[in-house]
Amino acid sequence: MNERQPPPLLTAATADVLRKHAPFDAMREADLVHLAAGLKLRYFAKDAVILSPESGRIDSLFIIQRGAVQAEEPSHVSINALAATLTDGEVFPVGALIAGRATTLRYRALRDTFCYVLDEARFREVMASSPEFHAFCTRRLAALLAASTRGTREAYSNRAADELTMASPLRNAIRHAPVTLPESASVRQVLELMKTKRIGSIVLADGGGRATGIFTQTDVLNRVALAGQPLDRPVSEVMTRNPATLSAASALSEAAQLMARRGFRHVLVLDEDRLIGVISERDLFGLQRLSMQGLRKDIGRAESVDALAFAAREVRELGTAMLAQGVAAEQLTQFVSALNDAVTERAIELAMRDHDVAATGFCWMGLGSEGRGEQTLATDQDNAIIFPDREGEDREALRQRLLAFADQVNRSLDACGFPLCKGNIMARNPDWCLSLQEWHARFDDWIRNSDPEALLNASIFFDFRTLHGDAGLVEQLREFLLANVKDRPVFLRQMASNAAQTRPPLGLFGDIVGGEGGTIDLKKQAARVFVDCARILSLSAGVGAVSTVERLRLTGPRIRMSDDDVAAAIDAFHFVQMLRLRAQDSLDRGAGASEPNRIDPDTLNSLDRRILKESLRQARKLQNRVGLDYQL
Amino acid sequence: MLPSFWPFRRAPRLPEEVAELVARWRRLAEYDRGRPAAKGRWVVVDVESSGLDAVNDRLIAVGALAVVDGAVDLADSFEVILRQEAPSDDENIEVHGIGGTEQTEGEDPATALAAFLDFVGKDPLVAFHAPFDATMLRRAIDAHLGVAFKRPWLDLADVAPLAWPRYASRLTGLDDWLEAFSIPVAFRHRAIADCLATAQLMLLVLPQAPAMGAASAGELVALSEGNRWLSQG
Repeated sequence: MNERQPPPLLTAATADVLRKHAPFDAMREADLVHLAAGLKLRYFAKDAVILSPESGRIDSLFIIQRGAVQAEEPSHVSINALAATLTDGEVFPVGALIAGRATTLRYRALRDTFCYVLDEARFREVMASSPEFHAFCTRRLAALLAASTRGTREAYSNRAADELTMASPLRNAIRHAPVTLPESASVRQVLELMKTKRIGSIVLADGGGRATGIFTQTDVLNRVALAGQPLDRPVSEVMTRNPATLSAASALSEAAQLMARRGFRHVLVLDEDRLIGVISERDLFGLQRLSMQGLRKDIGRAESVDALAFAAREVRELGTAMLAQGVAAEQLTQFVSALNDAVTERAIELAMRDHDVAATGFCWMGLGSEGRGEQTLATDQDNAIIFPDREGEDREALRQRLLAFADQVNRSLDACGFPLCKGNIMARNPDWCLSLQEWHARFDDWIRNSDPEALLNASIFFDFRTLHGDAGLVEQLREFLLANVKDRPVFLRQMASNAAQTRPPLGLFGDIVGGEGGTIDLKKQAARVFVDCARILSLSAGVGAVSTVERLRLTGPRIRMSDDDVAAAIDAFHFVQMLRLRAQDSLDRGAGASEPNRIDPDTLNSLDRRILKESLRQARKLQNRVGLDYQL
Repeated sequence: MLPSFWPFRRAPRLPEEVAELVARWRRLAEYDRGRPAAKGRWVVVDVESSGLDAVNDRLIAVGALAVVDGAVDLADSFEVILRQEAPSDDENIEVHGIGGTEQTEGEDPATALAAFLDFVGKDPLVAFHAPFDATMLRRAIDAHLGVAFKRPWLDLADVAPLAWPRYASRLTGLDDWLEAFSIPVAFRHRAIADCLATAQLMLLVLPQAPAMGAASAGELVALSEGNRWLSQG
């Protein structure tokens, strides 16, 4: 039956109905007819549920012929539930269909409604053949990203965690009854139970039924797998003894504080003396705000490099937990950057106790990704010093003092988990500890010569930002840069041509094309395209912003990029950054590889792969834009 | 033409492929009368003819569209124009819009009707004012294929008033019903377009079947036929 072509009149009549609405009005006749020929028409009486999360994997697109459909969060989420009314010509659920997953919303007929139903195979054919339809379905990138975030979060908690506040009692946050085994059980028994029950932790009890320990997923890796422990040993030898407990009436915030303070991820919840559940860090959605404040204080109060390093480690741990909770990449990178800034600042303050450099009026600059505020979890140092030119001062003597100070700061940061820069782009390098005039000369030289080395330096040093000290110096340097770059179109053209060298890994048909072993480099082949293009566009437009997102936001309107295009590019960049964070996170947990930015797109879930593809398309679009501007 | 009850009437000689389709159709099992009304396949049928006299006018075109498991499947559809010796008159052409050349260059009737049998199978048929369509098809199929086309018909003209009794006195023709339910129709009196409109009325009727005391497909058909005997009796 599927091969049969409906009579032309039937498809023409259906196409006519569709053509009253976007995107069908913009589609080519042949594509629209092909779409129409694959449609079914269904009727839903008022109040009928058309689709819901329980419907399972979505395999068709619904187009409302006439009627009204309410899209709503399933009832248990309530309160600020999202709801939207869809009417004639509107389509749903695009995101779920593209991702091949269940819908997160429930679709209910508000009145008698007829819907055209397009099966997935035909939907994909039309997506491939019609650019208009494709654009319509994928312009929903922002919506897709939201779905992805929600999906990650749901993977960790079935409960609508937003409903819980930090003041809610722990009792309300318990997701299931505690799973316990006697502490005499073998590690193997524990692991098998964790697997069958799909839980992250098991409570161990003694003969009297008293909880004596806890064993978690993290322990599997650290204390069993990596430690090479045989599985037939009693779990009591590897479990965490005397786990923290709180009463069921305690607030979530107490559990969060306890975890943040003592550095563990699980708290046993007792009702009187009876164990009623386990709260994990992941259950405490909303925890990050609280802990962020706490961590900030810890960083600011660190009295030694050791204490600072401890706090920095906690920053990374919390970043990892937030990632697991599905916190959006934008907030997450902001969070990581903010705390890393605080760590750097504290490292500088500590070093200034040993070095009398306050009077020099120096300013510590973050460069590269640190300058842009786009650090991921595995970032080495890129920094420099700028100091004022003062009459009658011995510049070299001043430099020597600052270098000794910088060396201490660089080493402290290294101890805090920011490895020394392999390219020696650090403030302790005399080449990068310069006065304002010297920096002017340096920048001027790069802009005039635009040789490969100058271009490479520009890509790091032109993304500079004050981390400590006199911001006025940095702003003077920025004004100098913007004024000089403007007069040198050749330099920007060279930069543009450099940026065009790496094409996003997309094939002819818009599929992701992996390199060795089918992998792609998220940094080189994706993130860097956004970063480089944003730098070129903003410099040529005289925009002084440093972060890629700010650059795009401020430059876009000046170069007649539509708001939609700017927003899509930003979303895409954030998504790539999020994937990088996730990839690095899995490395930290022992996946192990020399290239933290490489991923195999096939290992992504279909939604993420789809979004990645769309993000790469955005990268290509931005690159084409730059290419066009410089006629490459 | 000899009457169909004439015992010595010769069956028409059919080309091999046509004979094969007919033989296959004869072997098909009857539809399951006990299945729920909203499940399985119904075939909505509409015909165009040279006039309104079901006994004497000629069959010009047949449209058919399936409703499967409560959904109209546009791809599961059928339309054919039967070759005419001479086109119908201009007044008639204005009704269905099938022009003279289209009529004389149509499909060989035996081939067209065999394809129709193949399309509908033994599934129950649906039409608005079914006796007209049923009679036109029975005559043509008998004449060209020598097949007695006696099939179960669900007549929406009978059943829709049962589903919505309070509309029954006001709504009579198909156009009334389509208007009442805002069902769009692209080209009224083109067989396949009428099928699409009628099929949408069918979608509305199916969920009402249990309330009408016709949970199964067979009961729904019986309801239609019973009502017709009553109204005619």
